Amino acid sequence: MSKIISIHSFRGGTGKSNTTANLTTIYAMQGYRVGVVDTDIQSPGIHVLFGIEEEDMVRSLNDFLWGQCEIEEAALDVTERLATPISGKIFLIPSSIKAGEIARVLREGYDVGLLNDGFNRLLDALELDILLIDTHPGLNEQTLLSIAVSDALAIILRPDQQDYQGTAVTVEVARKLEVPKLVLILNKVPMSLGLDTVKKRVEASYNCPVAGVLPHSDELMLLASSGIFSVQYPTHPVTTTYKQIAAMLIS
Amino acid sequence: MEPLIVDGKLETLGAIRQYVMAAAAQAGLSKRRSYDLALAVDEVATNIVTHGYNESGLAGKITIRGDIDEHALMVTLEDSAVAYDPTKRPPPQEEDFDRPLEERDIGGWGVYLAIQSVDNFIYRRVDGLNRNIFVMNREPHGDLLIVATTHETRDSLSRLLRAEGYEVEAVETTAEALDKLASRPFDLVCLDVNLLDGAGPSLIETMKADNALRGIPILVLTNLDSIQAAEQSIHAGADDYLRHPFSPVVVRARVGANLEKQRVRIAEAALKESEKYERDVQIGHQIQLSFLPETLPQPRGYEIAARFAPARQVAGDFYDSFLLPNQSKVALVLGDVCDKGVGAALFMALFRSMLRAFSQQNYPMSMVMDVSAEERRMLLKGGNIALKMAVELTNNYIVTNHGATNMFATLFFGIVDPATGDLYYVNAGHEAPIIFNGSDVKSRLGVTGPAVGILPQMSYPVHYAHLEPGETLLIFTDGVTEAKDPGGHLFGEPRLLKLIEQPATSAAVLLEDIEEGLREHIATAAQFDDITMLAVRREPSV
Amino acid sequence: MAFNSSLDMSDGVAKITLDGELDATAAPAFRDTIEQAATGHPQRLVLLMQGLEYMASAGVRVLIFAKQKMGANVDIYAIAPTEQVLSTLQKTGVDRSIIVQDSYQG
Repeated sequence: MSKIISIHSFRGGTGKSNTTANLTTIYAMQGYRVGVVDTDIQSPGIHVLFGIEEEDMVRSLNDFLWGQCEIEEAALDVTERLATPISGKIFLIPSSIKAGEIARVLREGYDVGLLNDGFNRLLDALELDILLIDTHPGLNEQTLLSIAVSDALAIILRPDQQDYQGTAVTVEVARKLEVPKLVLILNKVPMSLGLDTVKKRVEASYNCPVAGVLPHSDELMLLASSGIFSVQYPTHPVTTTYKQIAAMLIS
Repeated sequence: MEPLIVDGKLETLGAIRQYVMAAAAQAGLSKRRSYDLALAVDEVATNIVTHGYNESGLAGKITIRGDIDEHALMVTLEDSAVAYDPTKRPPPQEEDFDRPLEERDIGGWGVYLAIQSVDNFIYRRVDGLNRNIFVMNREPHGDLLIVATTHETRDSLSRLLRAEGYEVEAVETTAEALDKLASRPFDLVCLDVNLLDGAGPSLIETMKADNALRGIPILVLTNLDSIQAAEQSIHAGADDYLRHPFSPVVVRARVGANLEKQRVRIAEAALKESEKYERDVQIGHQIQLSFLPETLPQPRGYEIAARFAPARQVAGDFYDSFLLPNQSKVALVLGDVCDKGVGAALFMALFRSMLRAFSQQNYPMSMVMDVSAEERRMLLKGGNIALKMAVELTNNYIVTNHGATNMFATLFFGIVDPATGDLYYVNAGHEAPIIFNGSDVKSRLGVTGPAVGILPQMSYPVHYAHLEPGETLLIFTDGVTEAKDPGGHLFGEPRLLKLIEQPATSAAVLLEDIEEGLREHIATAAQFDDITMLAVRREPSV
Repeated sequence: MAFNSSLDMSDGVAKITLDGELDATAAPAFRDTIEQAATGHPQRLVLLMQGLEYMASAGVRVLIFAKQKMGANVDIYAIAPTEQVLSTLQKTGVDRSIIVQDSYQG
């Protein structure tokens, strides 16, 4: 079974954090103990989806990278925060949202190996079944590391030219880094394009399986902005697609 | 000289004396000292023949050999007769010398004469042979140059000085003198006062202006009516003067005194040079010490200890241990710069500083993009890229910037994670550290890459080992295994492994035990190389 | 150079001329000459040493033998020994019981 799963997109705005939060929740609802690390140090955001405010963050990933705590000390058990019974566990390791701390990491950098040590320590210390990594868009250091140490990588893209080109770059890097499992997730696909048609075209052009296709609709946008979609709409077809993706990533 | 082997019979004593006289001539001993040496050897040889062989009814050979070095002639007599140490014979008492002949014992003076006649006498019993060694120091005789206009002066003074045992050359003009002085070193120049008022610079001026000739004493040869000129020449730099007609006593005294003065000057310069060397050694040691860590990290559940015993001469060993930035991992470094002297100390400082600085940097992922998946997994452990890069960057820096000095180092660089006991390391041509538990050697961390500073662009892959509770990692330099006892025998690895077998209660005690074992081995021999050890002990789990 | 000794007895004086190298090999010949001289009961033993190039302790032994053979009242003269031979006589204290002279008249 895949233990470390990275969720990536070449550009921002693809719904990466949303997808990560949905997959996390689905695994936890299936009884898994799940960790989710926000490695998007430059523009952290996933904590919002789990209802975490700035004052809830006693420790962050930043503190660990500066040697100020063990990584598990930054983990927040957010299981109870979701308005639904969850048989597993969800631990969130947030990145600091303090401007000074963000700037400091960018200025000083850190040892990528240390971040990897942190991932492995989390798996042990919190007895995790699955660790999800929400990455920063594009190919920066922590993204490259996340890709390199992942058992599975999901690249999210929208059906537009810029995403197509960027995704090609990421796929190439993932292949170079020999990620055992590589899948694509198509998001915000206009219904008018025909979801299945788009899926087939993308699979053919990247020679890579598409784990799921999520449609673009104003209704979805409206629903999604208020929380984790699969928690609120457990029977919605989109939730079903998330479940398919989740199953494929750990198979 | 080729040894001479003769039968131990009275008839061969003449041949032995002849051999000694030839050796003495070759060593340049004076007639008087040659005689004394021949007498000494003859007396002992006589003893060997009459007492060693004849009286005991034995027959045997006598081997005689002369060895000449810069300072001395050494004559060795060897025989296979029963052991006899001439130095054990009590010397005659004061009253023996006054005893009238008719009251004396007939024998007993030979050995005394022999020992009295040489500068040093040594007896050894070696492999069933008596070895009698006679040492005569070679007197420092002077090479003198006489520069004089008249044949009479050159001739009389040459004869006089040669009789004193000096090597003498005599020339007529200043130009010839300069040619001679350029051809080989002279210890003293005797200069005719008549040559001082010619055209152009005098020989004195020329010599004083020349660094190589400035120190050679100059004696001006003068007669009564040129005393004033002689005095002027002393102002110009001459050391002394000799007045014609030459009195052997005065010539002997003045030449001897000036040569002696010159020798004292040279000896003082040599002493100063050696004091300077001493100071350099001190500086080298200080550099080396100041680049060793003042304290060692002591992570929970571990003990880290180090020992550093500098050689008499400055060598280039170093050790270091520090926490990786922002991590609880401990870097362990031990290196040996393969040279001696202040240069080695400077390079030790350079290696140590670069390794420390480069291992505390963050390196981009691009460093691990073009390696195998297996190596990438290894490198993506915290600190491992830094470990690899520190060694590779140091290697390239040394080769590129200091390649001409041919300085390089063997080193071990490990990173241990106290939480897990995981140990990642690079061994660049160094002695294989030992991981052991009690008396059992678990593994040796052999060489994983070439010594640092020889070839550019070398790759240093990281290797893995593990330290279980109760196990100790011992890292050491070849100063340990190659420590020599007074007989030149190496301490050797078997002995080190033997010491490890004695279970020590702590890393510090282990290193003390090893050091004690080394001290016993080295005993009175000079410690040629630094002795450096670093031990990491993981405490047994409770 | 081979050792040679020649004896000349006259007026109670035994004169022996010594030549060459007096080592342990040559000592018996010197001793024979001393014994021969002793048969004439000289009052004085004069050793002409000018040509004596070398003398080991074997020579000293013969001198002791001579004194013991001829008696304490027979004076031994060493005439014109070389610097080296004289040094051996001095180092052994023999010069304290014999008479060393540059030349001998008579």
